[in-house]
Amino acid sequence: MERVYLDWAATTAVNIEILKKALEQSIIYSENPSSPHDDGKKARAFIESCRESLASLFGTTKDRLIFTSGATESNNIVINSLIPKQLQKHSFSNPGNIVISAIEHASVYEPVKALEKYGWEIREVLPEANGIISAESFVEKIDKNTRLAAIIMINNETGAIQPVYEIGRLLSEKNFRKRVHYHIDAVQAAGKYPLNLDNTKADSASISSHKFQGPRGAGILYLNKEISPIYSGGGQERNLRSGTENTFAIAGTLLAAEKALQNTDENLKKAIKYKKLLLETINNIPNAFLNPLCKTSDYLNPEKYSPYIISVGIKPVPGEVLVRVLSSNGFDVSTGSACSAGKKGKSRVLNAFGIDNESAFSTIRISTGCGTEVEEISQFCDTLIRETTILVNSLSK
Amino acid sequence: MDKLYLIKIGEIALKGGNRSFFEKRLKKNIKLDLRGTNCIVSGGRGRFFVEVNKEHSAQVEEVLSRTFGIKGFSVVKRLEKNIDKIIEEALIQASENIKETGGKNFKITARRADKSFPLNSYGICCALGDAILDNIEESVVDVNTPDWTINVEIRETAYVYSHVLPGPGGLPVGTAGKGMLLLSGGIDSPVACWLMSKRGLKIDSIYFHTYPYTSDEAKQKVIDLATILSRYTSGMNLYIVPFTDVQLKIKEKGFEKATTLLMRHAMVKIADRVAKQNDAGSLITGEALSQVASQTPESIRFTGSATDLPTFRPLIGMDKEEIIAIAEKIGTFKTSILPYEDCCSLFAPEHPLTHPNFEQITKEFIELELDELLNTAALETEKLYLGGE
Repeated sequence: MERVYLDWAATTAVNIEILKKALEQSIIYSENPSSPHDDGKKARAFIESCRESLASLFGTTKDRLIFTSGATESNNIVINSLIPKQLQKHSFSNPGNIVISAIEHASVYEPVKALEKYGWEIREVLPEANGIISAESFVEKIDKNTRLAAIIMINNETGAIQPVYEIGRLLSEKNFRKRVHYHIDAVQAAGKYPLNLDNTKADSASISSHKFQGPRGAGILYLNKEISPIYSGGGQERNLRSGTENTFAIAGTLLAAEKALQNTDENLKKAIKYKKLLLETINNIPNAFLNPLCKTSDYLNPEKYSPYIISVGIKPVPGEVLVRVLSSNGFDVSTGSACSAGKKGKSRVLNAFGIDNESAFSTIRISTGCGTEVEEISQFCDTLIRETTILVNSLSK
Repeated sequence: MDKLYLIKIGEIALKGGNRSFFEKRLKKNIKLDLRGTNCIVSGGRGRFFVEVNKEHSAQVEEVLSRTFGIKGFSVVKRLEKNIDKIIEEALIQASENIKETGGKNFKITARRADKSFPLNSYGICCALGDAILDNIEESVVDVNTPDWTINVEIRETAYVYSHVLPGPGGLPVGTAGKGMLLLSGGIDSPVACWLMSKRGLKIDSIYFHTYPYTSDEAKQKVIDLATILSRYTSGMNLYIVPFTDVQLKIKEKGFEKATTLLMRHAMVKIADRVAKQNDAGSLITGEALSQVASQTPESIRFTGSATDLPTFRPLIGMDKEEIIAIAEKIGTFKTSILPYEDCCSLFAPEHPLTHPNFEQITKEFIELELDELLNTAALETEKLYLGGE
């Protein structure tokens, strides 16, 4: 049985052509780009041409892109850059506050929470009932002591799209831009939506290549402001990410971004169609509910919710049980966020969306991607109806 | 073979007419666990020997330190029964012991099993003691708190050794028949297994799998635990029972507060059947009195009534801390606490019965009419063999 992959938000299905081509290029330009000889210079030129092309694809200039190992590293470089500055100023008792959304991915939430022990005050902003944070409420939390404001562009567990452009505009209007570093996590947006980084008015943004069929261990930090480095070494990547550049990762990122961004409109249309089919099926399942709670018409609006992600619960079936049953039928889906799927207990992010523990316990995430076929969705819908009927009947006394 | 171990037995020595049965079993277990090392296992009547090449000595010591029936073991030097040769070896070991301990207070012990040897035990001690006092400056005899001890045994040949490493004691696995352990993924049941193995039980395990409500990771955790335990039990069969249909029927028809007890009763019934089919004459559980609702005297009376086999509950009077200390010692604790719980909250009542009325709950179990489902579960049980070393 051919397996059907519906966990694209965790990582995209491999595109062998992209990886092969990236490998070929990394073999051709295998020398150290910092070496002074001709082959080293050619490797440098190749990397810089990749940077320039990526900058053009993501609506910015090449001097604003730093190559990293992925969004986790990009987020950490920005967040932890507060520490060297704090040490320089010897401000240990009250270094300032950080404003974040309460629905951040762990790669933002955890490093920010870790700063609490250095005296930082963390201010979390909850979304409205529809899962979307009000830009005004977010900006209201910012005051003269705020040093960093971070928000996720598209939530990875529910697909709720956050008003990052509006927040950027408000920060500019209120003249916060100089004092407050504005960071966005663009992981679930990059390669799926047209993305103009400069237009976000963010100071920094993080991107992971494997979310749009690039290689694992590759990513970008968009950076529009000087920050203190947390690594020391050879001074590569504007002295913010020392270490010999990973030519394979950089080449693969560009190839994947080119492919993804050529077809964003077409892919979005397909994803909306699939989401509609899935929602029709889910509406026929007793006890099924969507996260966050909203009108179906809103849920299908790609400006409010990513069509690539559906968060659904079917009570009283535990999400992990449904994932197992679907998996044994050949379908890969996830419970909540795959990054924390191994963890038990409360779901921090789903709780922040106003979803109680019992509902979060029953939640699965279905995520489609550019390679998803309509037949796969039809097969999945049939299986979902069949298996949830059996499970609900078994568990309902 | 360049290394020789002398093995001392513990409780077996107290056995009367059937002592050779215990000794033969111990020898067989040692051979089984040391297969692959090309060692030679010999001896009997109180002392065993393992001869092995040096490269396998770490493995031999690891096996001997966990083989039930062994009280202690030593690396020994084998010599001809000549007092001069014995003294010569004693002086070599004395120098090594001084290097190791930095102390010069010593003690000599001697055991003369061969009564034809001209010196008796006391005479051997005196001869060696004098030689050490004469040859090593500042050496002092100290029989109460010695820095080191040299031991001599005169048997078919002479043995001289300084260090005695501890074995686990107990009786050889297999000398008390076979038992069936109800193995969960928790901390307690592996400890119960180790304790009953120590009393000579050969143990197989039974695990109840409720897929998809229990994950494959939870099943693998139980397999991993059984693999660790198989090192102590000289191999182990693990029976994996598909229990989902039984569990769902109990959830559907059973009195909610009693579901855990009804489920455990059903498990014991299946364990009883699988045990009898596989020549196991007892059941073993990790129950500790009043640890949870199903472990009160009334609950144990009901769950235990599902079998007529003796049920051993070696943890019954132990605190959790005591159980954890053993789990850490035998190497099961880290696996037991891996977070692959089943979705037991689906099946566990919020307020479980702690003091069931025996007649009433027995009647309720009968009314569930589970016989066919229990038969199917027993028939569809999967068997895995997990070998020792």
